[in-house]
Amino acid sequence: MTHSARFPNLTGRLAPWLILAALGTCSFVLSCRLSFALVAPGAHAQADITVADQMLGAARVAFGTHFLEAADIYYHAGGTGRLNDSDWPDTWFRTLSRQIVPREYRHIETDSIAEMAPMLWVAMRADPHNIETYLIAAYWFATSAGLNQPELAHEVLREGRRRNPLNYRIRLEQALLFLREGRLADARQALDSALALWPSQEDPDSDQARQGKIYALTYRALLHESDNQVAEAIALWKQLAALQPDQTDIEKRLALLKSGAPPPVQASSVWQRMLRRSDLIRAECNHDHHHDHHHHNP
Amino acid sequence: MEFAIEIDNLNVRFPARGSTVQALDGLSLRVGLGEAVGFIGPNGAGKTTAIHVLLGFIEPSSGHAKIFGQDSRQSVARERIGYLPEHPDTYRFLTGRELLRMAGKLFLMKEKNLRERIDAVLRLVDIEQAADRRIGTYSKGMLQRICLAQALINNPDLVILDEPTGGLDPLGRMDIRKLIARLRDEGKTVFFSSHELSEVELVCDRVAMLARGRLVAEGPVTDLVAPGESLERFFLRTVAGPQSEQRATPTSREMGNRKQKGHRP
Amino acid sequence: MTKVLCITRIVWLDMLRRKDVYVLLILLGALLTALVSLNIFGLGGLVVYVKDVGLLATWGFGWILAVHIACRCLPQEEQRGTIYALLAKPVTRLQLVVGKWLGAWSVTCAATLAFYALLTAMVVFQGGTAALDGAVLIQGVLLHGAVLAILCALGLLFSTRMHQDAAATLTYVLSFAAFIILPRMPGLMARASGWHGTLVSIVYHLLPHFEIFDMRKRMVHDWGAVNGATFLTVLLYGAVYTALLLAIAWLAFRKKRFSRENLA
Ligand SMILES: Nc1ncnc2c1ncn2[C@@H]1O[C@H](COP(=O)(O)OP(=O)(O)OP(=O)(O)O)[C@@H](O)[C@H]1O
Ligand SMILES: [Mg+2]
Repeated sequence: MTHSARFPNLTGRLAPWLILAALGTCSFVLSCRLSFALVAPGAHAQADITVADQMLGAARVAFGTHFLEAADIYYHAGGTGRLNDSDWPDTWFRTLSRQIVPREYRHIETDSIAEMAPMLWVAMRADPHNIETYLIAAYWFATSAGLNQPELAHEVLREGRRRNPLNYRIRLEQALLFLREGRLADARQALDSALALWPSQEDPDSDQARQGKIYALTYRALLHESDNQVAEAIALWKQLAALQPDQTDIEKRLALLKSGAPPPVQASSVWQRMLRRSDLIRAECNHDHHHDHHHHNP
Repeated sequence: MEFAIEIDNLNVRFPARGSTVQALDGLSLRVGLGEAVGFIGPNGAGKTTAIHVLLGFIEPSSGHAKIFGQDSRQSVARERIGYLPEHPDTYRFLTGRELLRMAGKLFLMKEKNLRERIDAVLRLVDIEQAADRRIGTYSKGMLQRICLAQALINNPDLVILDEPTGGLDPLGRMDIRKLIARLRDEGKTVFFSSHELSEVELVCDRVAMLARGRLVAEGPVTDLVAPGESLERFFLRTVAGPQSEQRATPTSREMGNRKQKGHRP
Repeated sequence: MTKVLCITRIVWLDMLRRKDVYVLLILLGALLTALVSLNIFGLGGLVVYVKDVGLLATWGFGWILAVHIACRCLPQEEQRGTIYALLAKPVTRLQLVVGKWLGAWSVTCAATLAFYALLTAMVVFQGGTAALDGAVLIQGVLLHGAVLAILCALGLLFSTRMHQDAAATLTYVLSFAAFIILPRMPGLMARASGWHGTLVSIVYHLLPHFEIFDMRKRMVHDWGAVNGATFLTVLLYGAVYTALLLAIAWLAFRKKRFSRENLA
C-alpha cells in the first residue's frame, strides 16, 4: 500500500470517531446549557449575547465548577465523601470498593497544597468570571506555610480584577492581603473601591453581599481609626450598626470614639485578630466546601 | 471398505423469512479412498452446504457425515483434510510464508518438518517468488494459490476444494487441473465442486450431481453420459429437462475434451 | 495450547501491522508532554495532576483498545471468510474463542503497559522517584489488567452474535454504565422494594463491578497499597467473571452458522 492510498483510508476510519466526538461535545454543551438554565435562570440572559455564546458560556461555567471541585478533591487527597450513602445497603462490592478506593478525608500536607494549583489554574481559564476560584487560589497561595507565595496571590487577584473589573469581592480580598502585609495605603484604596463597587452583580439582600459589605466597612472603619480620622470612622461604624442592630460591640466602640477616649484595643490589633480568625474560619470552610465559603462576622 | 467421505441421509434447513430453505434434502454420498470426485450442480443446489457439513461448520438438521470414519463434527476429523473455501481469502496483513507457518502450527507440525513443507507447498502452487510479500499485495490468482497452499500444508489425505477454478484465467485453471491430477496420482482423495464441467470431465473418476439438495446422478462420467454427449449437455438435460437441450450446442472445446477423455483409463 | 497461541499470534500480528496502538501511544505522549510543559503559576515539581490526567487517559485508551480489538476479532474473520479456512483446521471453537480473547487481552495489556511506562517516566521526570509508590503501581496495573480481561471477554461475547460495530457500541455503553451507575445503585436498592427491588438487585450483582478494580485514587494521592487479601479477592472476581463471559461466548459461538454475505 502506498502512502497516498493509506491516507484516505485513515481519514475514512477516523471520520466516524470525529463525528462522534463532535456530537458528544454538542450534547455536553447543550446539557450544560439546559442544566445551567435550571439552576440559574436568567444568569446569562443579557440581550447582546448570542445563543452560541450562551451555550459556550454555560459549558465554561460547568467546566470551571468541575475543576474547582477537582481542586477540592485534591485537597482531600482524593477522598470525596460526597455520596450520602450511610443508609444504603451494604453489599459485598461496596465493602471491597471501600477498601480499594479511599473514601475518608485526609487533608494534604501543607507542602503539597501546591498540587491543587493546576486545577485552580484550569478552573480560572475555563470560567474567568467565577470569583470563587480567584479567592480560593489567592487564599491558599497567601496562607499556606509550605507554599508561602504572597506574590502569587497578588498575581491571581490582579488577573481576577482584570477579568472582572467591577467585582467588589476581588478588591476586598486584595485589601485583606495588603492588610496582612501592612501595606495600609494599598489596603485603603482597595477597600474604598470595594465599597464603591458593592454589590456588583450580587443581590444586595443576599447573605454573601451583606457579609461582604460588613467586612469591607469594618476594615475601612478600623483603618480610619488608625489614621485618626474619627469622623469618618464614626460614620462607617454607624452604617455597620444599622446593618447589625444586635451587635452591642459596635455600639460600645461608637460610644468610645464619640467620647474621644482611646479604645481599649488598638485598631491595628483588631484587624489583625480578625484576619487570623477569618483564616481559621475559611480553612474550616474549605474542609467542607471550597466554593461556598462566606465571610464570617467579625 | 473404508471411505474418505460418508454422507448419510443428510438434511439441512436454513431459516428464511417466514419459511425454511431446504438446502440439502436427504443427501447420501460416498467417496472412496484415492478417488477424484467432481461435485456438480446448478447454483444454489447445496454443494457448498454439503461441504460445510463435512467440515463441521454446519450442524445438519438430521443425518450425519463422516470423514475417514470419524464424525465430521469432531475437530480430529479435520486432521487429514485440506480445504479451499469457495471465496478464498485470508489474513492480508501476513506474508505468504507467515500464513503457511501459522497453518502448519495449527496441525502441530514440527519446526523442521514445517520449514521443508512450506518450501515444498510454495513450489507446488508456484508462488515462491511472492512468499515474503504481504498477502494484501497479491492478485486474485495469487490469493487463490496461497489459499490452496495453506490447504495443502498438512499433506492431507483428503482435499476438498470448493470451486477451485473460480475467477482464474485459462492458464490458472490448467494449473489447478494439473494439481488435482497430481494429487490424485499421489493417492490422495480429491473432492471438488466446480461449474467448469469440461474440467470436471477431464480430471474426475466420478461425478456426483446435485439439484435442489438432492443427489440426481452419480457415477463415472462415461457411465452417465450417452455416447457422443458432453457432460454439459447431460447436466442441462438432467437439471432443466429435455427442452433446454436444444439451447445447448456443443462447442469446439467440448469436442476436443471428449477426444482427450478417450485416452484416460 | 499451541493452537490457542497460534490464534493469539494472528491477533498480535494484525494489531502490530495496524496503526491504532501507535496513534494512541503518540497521543498519550503528546498529552503528557503538554501537561508537564504547562507553566502553572511558575510552580515546579507538581505531579498529582500529571498522574491524575495521565491515569485517566490510560484507562480511557485501554478501554477503547480493549473494546475495539475484542469486538473486531471474530466478525472480521467471518466477513472476510477467513474463518472457513481456520475452522477447517483441527481447531475447536473453544480454542478459537479462547485464542481470540487471549490475543485481544494480551495486545491491550501490552499497549496499556506501554502507557503506564510512559506515564511513570513522565512522573519521575517531573517529581523524582519519590512521586511514585512502586507497590501501589504494581497492584494498580494488575487490577487494570483484570478490567481489560473482562472488557475483552464482554466484547468478544457480543461479537459472536453481532456485527462488530454493534458489539462495540453495546460494550462501550454497557461498560460505561456499569462503571458510572453501579456504584450508585445501592442507593436505588435502598428505596426500591418488591419485584422492582429484586430486579435492581439482580442487575447490580450481574453486571461487572469495574469500580472495585479502580486504584487510580490510591496511585494519584499516595494512599499506599491495598491489603493482600482484598487485592486477591478482587483479582479472583475478575478471573471468575472473565471465565464466565468466555464460557457464555463459547456457548453462543459453538453452533453458530456463518454467512459471509450477511455481514459483508
Ligand atoms: N446461511 C444461509 N442462510 C439461508 N440460506 C442459505 C444459507 N446458506 C445457503 N443457503 C441456501 O441454501 C441453498 C444452497 O446453497 P449453497 O451455497 O450450498 O449452493 P451451491 O450449490 O454451493 O451454489 P453455488 O454453485 O452458487 O455456489 C441455497 O438456496 C442458498 O440460498
Ligand atoms: Mg457454492
